[in-house]
Amino acid sequence: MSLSRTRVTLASGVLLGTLAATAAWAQWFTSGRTTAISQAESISFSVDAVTITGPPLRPGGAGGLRIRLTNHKPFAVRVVMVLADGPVTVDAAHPGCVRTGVSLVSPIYTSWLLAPRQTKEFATSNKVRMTNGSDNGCQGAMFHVPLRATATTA
Amino acid sequence: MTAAPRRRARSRVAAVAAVTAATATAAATGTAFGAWTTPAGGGSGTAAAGTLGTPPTVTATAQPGRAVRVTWTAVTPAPGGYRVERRRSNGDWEAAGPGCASPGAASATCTDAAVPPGQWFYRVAARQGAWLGTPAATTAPVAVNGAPANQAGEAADDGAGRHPTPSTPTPATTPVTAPVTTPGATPAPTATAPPEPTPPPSAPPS
Repeated sequence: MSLSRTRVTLASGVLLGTLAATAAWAQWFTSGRTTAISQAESISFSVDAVTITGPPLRPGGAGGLRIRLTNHKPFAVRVVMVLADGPVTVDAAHPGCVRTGVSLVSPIYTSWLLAPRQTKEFATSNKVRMTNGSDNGCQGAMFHVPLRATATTA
Repeated sequence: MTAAPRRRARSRVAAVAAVTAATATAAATGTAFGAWTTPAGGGSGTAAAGTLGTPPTVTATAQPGRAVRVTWTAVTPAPGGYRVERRRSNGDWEAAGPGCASPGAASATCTDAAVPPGQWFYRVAARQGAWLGTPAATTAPVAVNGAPANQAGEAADDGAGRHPTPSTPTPATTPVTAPVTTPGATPAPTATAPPEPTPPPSAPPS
């Protein structure tokens, strides 16, 4: 009986140790950090505002992107990518603007660090482009550029 | 230890091992920490498109050899280039000849060569890609090779280069705008007027 309990305890201990080591390795492998984050502490951040910077778009031209982000969690996160999140659309006042020629360079790889519960603005240039194929009816139009950002634990 | 407790002990060990192995595998593949990376942030921005400017001034001047020199004021900000068009009094706008086919961004003048005889109006618009700006105001008429330089002459222009002379050779009266006549050309009607390809029956002998 005593021998059996000892074996059970030993086996459990070895296996638990293996688990802990494997989990730690897995976390390091995924995030490059050793700080543990449980499932309950999932990342939560929001894109508060997006501004297309620079002069108005013209065929062959490009504009910058300014994004304000908020990290809602008590640990730092790093925004690693910004992606187009659907087609660019044009305002209703320009029905002749069928081929907008406008697109977001996607993906945009970033390394923007957000401290715990921080709101911060980031900027990147020449990421919204207009091709020479933009319809003549697009002059003076307003374009809606949807995007999303992906973050990881810092 | 009897056989029954021993079996229970072995079962416990096996159960612990199975659970532990499964958990370890999940951790190793990262699925247990799937919240580390998230596509949580979404938003959108608004981008405004610009417009192409209009050249403030455009002038057209007749040149020797049935040519017309077109000059305009550059647009700011600079477009990709310009489009130069011409038309007869009652005709439709058409692209100017090779000399003015596609002036570049730095251009502010061009010479439309081998212009068919007649009276011509010019206009210039900025272009960029498929965009074309609002053209500048039309120039005053330019008479090439002795075309009529008065209203009567303009009205008689059939849009195909034929310029029948007035039945009564009266002097030009009240021109709409100051015409420019190609140097060396003689105002119609005269014997030196350019040959008419198909003169209308009503045209009097010159």
